[in-house]
Amino acid sequence: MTCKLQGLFPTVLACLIAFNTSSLSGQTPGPSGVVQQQRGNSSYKNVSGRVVDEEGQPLPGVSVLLGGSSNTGTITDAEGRFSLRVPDDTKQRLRLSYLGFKTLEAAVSNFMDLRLQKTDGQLREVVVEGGYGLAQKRSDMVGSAFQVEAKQLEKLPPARIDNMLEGLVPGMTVSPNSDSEATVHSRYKTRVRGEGSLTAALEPLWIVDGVRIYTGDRTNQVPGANATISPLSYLNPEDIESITVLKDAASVSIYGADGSNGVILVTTKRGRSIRPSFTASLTMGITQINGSLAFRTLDASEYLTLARESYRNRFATTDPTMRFFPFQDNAGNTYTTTQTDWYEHFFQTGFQTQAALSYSGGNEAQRNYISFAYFDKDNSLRGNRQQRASLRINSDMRLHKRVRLSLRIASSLNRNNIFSPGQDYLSYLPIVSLYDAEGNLRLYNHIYIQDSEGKPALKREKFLNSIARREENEHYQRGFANNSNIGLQIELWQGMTFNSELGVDYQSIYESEYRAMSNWSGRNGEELLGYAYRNSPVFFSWNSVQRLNFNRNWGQHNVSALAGFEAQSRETTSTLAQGNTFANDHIREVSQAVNRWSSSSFNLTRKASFFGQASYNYNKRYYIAASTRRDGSSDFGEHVHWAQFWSLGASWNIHNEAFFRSESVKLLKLKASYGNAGNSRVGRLHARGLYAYGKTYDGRPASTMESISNKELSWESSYIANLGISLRLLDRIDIEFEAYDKVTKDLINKTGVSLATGNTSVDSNIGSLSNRGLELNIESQNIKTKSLLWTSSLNLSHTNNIILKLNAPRLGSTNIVWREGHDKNTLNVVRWAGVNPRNGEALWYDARGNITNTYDINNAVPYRSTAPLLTGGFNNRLSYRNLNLSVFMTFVIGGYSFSSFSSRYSSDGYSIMNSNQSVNQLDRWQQPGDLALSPRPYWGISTKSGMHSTRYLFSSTHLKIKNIALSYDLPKEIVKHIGLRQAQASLIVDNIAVFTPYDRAGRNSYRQSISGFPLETGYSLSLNLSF
Amino acid sequence: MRKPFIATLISLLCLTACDNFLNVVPVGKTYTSLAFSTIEGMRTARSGMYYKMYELYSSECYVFADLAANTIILNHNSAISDRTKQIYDYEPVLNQNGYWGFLYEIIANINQVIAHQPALIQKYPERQSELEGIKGEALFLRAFCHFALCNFYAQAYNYSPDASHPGVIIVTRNLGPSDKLPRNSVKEVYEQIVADLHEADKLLEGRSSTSKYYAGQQAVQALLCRVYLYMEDWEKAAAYATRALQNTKLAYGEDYLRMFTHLNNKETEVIFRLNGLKNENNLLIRLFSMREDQQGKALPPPALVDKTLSDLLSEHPGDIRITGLMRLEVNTDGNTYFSTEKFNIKDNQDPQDEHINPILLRLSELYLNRAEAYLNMKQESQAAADLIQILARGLQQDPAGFRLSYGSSDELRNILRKERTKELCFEGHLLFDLKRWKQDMRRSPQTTSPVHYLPYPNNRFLLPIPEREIQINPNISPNPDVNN
Repeated sequence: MTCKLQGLFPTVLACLIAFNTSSLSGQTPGPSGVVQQQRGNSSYKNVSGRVVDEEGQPLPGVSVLLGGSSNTGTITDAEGRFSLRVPDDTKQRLRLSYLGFKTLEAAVSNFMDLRLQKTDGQLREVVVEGGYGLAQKRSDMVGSAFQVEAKQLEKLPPARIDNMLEGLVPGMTVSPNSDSEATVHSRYKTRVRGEGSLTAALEPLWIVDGVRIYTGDRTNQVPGANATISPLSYLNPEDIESITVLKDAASVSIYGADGSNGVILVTTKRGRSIRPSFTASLTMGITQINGSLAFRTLDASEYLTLARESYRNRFATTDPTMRFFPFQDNAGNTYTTTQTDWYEHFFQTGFQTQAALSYSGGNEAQRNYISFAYFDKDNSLRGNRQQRASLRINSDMRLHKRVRLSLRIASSLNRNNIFSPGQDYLSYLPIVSLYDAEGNLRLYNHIYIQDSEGKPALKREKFLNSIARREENEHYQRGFANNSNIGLQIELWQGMTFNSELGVDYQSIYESEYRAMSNWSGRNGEELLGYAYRNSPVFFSWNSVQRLNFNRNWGQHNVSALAGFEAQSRETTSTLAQGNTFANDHIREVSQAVNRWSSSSFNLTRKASFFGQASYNYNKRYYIAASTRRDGSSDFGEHVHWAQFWSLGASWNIHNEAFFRSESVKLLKLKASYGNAGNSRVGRLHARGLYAYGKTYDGRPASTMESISNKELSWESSYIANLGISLRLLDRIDIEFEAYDKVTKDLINKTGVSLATGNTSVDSNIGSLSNRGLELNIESQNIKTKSLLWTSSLNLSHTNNIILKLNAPRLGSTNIVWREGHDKNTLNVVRWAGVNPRNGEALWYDARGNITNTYDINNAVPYRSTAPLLTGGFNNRLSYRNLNLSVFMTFVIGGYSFSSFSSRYSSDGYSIMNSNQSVNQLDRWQQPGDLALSPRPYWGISTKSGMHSTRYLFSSTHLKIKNIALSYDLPKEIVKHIGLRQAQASLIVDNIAVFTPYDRAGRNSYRQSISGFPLETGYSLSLNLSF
Repeated sequence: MRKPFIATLISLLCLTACDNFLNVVPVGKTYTSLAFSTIEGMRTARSGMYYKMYELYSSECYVFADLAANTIILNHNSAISDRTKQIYDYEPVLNQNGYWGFLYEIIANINQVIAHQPALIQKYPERQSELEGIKGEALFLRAFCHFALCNFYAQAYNYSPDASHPGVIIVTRNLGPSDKLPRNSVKEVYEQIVADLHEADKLLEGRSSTSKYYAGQQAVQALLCRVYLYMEDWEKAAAYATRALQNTKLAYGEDYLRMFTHLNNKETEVIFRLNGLKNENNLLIRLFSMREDQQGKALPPPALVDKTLSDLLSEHPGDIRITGLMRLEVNTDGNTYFSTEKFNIKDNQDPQDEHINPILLRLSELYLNRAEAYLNMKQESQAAADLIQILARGLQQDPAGFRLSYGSSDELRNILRKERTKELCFEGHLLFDLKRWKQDMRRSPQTTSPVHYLPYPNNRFLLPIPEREIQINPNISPNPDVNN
């Protein structure tokens, strides 16, 4: 099956090349791009040219008109190029206009190199990337896409690019995958317009310069490694020119089976102009755990007070003198005098540096962008460090008048030192010291117990000291990533180009871990072994796109079209070796271990697709666009190998209408689109029924049935309707408002089958759900004077999720229930009714709403939803002379969040002997009449008060000040004087503060459990020079 | 113009080539149709059926009928599976797939083999004989599984006069996700079992079974004998016992003990057993073997022998089944109990590959089956003769000179039932025998289970149909009392 592929590509390529040459010979261009033609009595000539901005950046979408007439005109393409047929003897001049730029008039000549000047301080019209060569001006768009520019990213923490987008894009959220306090290297989930599936991936598709990059599996986990380091951390954010988030059907249908969760296009910088320019930047900073956001646990004296009280509450009659209380001072442990702040042992002031150097320049035939960057972050959690060295070479060459070659080569070498303390930084008791009496890292605690004769006795207990693990073990991951693309563009004839692209994404990871026998992680019981693990997952994917783009204007009629073929392949291999039992801790390689295991795996997925797009606009007033894609995937069963996706869209630029005359409204646009996209990332579907190998019987290989077939299974498909309005007021305020309805049909989930089939469940299509939402984005210039400029941008999004159809209610992830007519994030929990003031018992409501003192999971009721009412971001920039200040905030309004982790530290005495507790436990019931928040604590007795209930439900409303940056541009005269073009110094603070409405001084609330693992605050100084 | 032509060509090329491009099979697995496309594939699927059988019968399932009856004292504090405790305590857990799910999984594997066999005969005519043998084995295993399902989930065949009470689902084809079949009556299930076994009998005719690890004609006949015995068709039970006993000899003395305790033995008595080589399931070994505590102090096995059984075995001094197969242990409660040696494998060479080979059919059972059949056919002397074979072997005496005295046929029946209990203990028979004998289940006062006594008839003798099946399959009827 694999061999067929090798035949396919050359064939297709050969055919396409044959196609090109034949079409090239069809029309021989005249010298210097001018074709003389005779038609009727008058003669025409073709003029062509290129339009750039002041910095030499090409300007696509510039309107080029001959004189005042509106019959002869065109717009520039993605490269800023245009060509126009004009009467040979024309006296008229070309009029170039572009929103945000001064209109330029130029005399007609054969080849024109034109430069437009920005109008001062006005909102610039953005060119939005669309993939497959479909870049458009925002005012020409039919679909919904939001673009984040390099400028918005430059002051954000450069560790990973998905995190940088938090709060910047309407309709998109970025948040940690888990609220667990034990997750140091949290995977992040990115959601575009809600969650459109129950079990399939909800992550958008990431594409860097046309190459799909592997960002982990369904839940962003990297298979084959013990610790997941996100491949999105392998990219150097300084190389990014723009990030475009495609959201509606008109934009994502062309990505077919991978489009339903949105598509994120990352476009990297290109060589701007011939003039060589260099940029050097250095950012250095420190990071610290944000004290106000860190979960608060008991200090030593609070802990002992509560522990003793819990003990007394339980053993008041059997051990009134507390003879068997475990934490009594002895030679090994002095509990009463020890005061350990474990945060201090686990955390430090982290240090981070990013140094980058980039070059841009070239000549007429070639433009280059070369950058090198080094990023080093020593985390505030000790034992964790991220290092990244990245190199990028982007080159655009003009091989021939009609042939262009583009190269994108990016590599990065990453090293991550990993140490995960789990929850130890919270759970370790403050009455235990890090070192034992001999001054070694503690491996034992000594506690009192009741011996078999009923007398107090001292017992030595293991202390699983994770700091010893950090100091003595070794765990790192090295990742090499290469993301490259080579593209050939041939202009076949006027307006028609052929593009052939081959992109490669290669990620090779090597993970090494050694667990030393000097601490418990390297022991089996008391046996000293030492464990070594070596994992090496490798991901190799390529995609090849052959496409024809067409772009042409006939008078007022502007037509563009695209047709293409794409093939993709992704190969995942992993090898794993592990061993244990070493002679000592110095020999750490598996080959030296007494016991050794190894394994390997291989996985191949392939996709093939055809796609097309066509759009037409009349006089920049009426736009229609249609797109389609046919996708085939090897993951699906025979019956559904192929799936068809399509979209239709239209927009109306009212401001270009003759009847529309308004001084205040400069732009008014309505748009609508409808279509579908799919979700192929559901994990392997065994539509055909599978047999598995690997067992033996009587020494012979055996195969057994793994799954039965479900021939009716089909792909999940989302139907997205989108309505939008864009408005520009007074050239000062840009408003974009969109509403969408995204219905996902044929949701796939495991469905139980009769056990008589031999299976428990099969993947089936079980229902449908919808995400409806509103998005608002406002960008404004609030104050604009000669020396002062204040701009702000605000985005707000609201999503309403409803399960439309479900074959039967079912439980989703923890505490979540899926029911028809309800949000898929509806919580299903027992309602907490507080503490009985008479006896300190925990109380709940039963399913019918009566108060009960017994916890029963069957009393769980569908309660509230974790989905917020509104999420958004608010960014303000203030420039005064050479000073710039930007303040970036994100916020969430409404919604509830269940803190799995608060419940663990509010055990009401149940696990107080093993784990430190939340400071909230101090508000416990002590005597009748107490209106306490926590029940009466009992040592080691579970009253089930710590079980999941609404006791741990918090409103997720909060405001986060994510980033403040203050920068100073050195005055131009001084800069020039020292031979520079620009010099800027900045002070940047990240994750400054979080505000929640229900805080209590000195206690934990949502603020302290918002992200599980405490948030880091960073302070950095940055210096940018360009010359 | 050549362009449209070339464009068409390209798309055609892509379309045809793409389907091949997209045909990727996951590694370590194949599509079912592909798995059965070669004779080698069929052979591994054959091994797969037996492997699934081993997987089930190397668990506590093997001794279910003992755990639920009165031969075991279970230490609840030991590290044994929850299911073991639940069976012993009659606390059925509904939220698992149970033996129900497992046995139907085996049946699905078997039905795949049966369904793909004809196409392979067409493809490999020269392999017809081998393929017919495989089908014979598959039919035998399918009968075995349906029979086991009845034993676990249905009342005995003689519970109602015409066996019309609910049995289990008969599955003789590959089911799809939408198939939700009702339970058949016990009569119908037994008819299917008998039909499968008769066809297997023909297909395996004249084949010499080379190994005890695969079913041969003798195994088919032995199972038919047991099935007819359960159906109380005494003539046929006796006839099939006689057929299966042709040219066989019971194991005596050391050979008899080694059959249980050694992987390497003469296998003279065994008709069919499963092979555990290179497989990991040690549940049975752990249940019946000595343990150590954290300080390395020896602890008795989790499962000990109930006094009811050890008293029965001590009835005649010098019985090899107590001297050779029982060991005296001091339990944690200070009392002494016997433990069984039937799962104490002494020649497990490689600790990484510690296993047992569970016995599913052996000759002694046939003698006891036939004795019971003869007794019910009022042929008491012949019944006594078969019984003497087992009694004398236990007491290590020559059966020729062994005298068995009994006053009435009821007394002989009593001796026979005791002998069956003694001989086949811990081999998964007792509760099923009690059900068809219409006997009460009574445990000794030392039992650690809350259940001491269950009178016949009793709905609690049945396992509950898994909750999952009831929820998904609207046509299934639950088992009364246990399914609430």
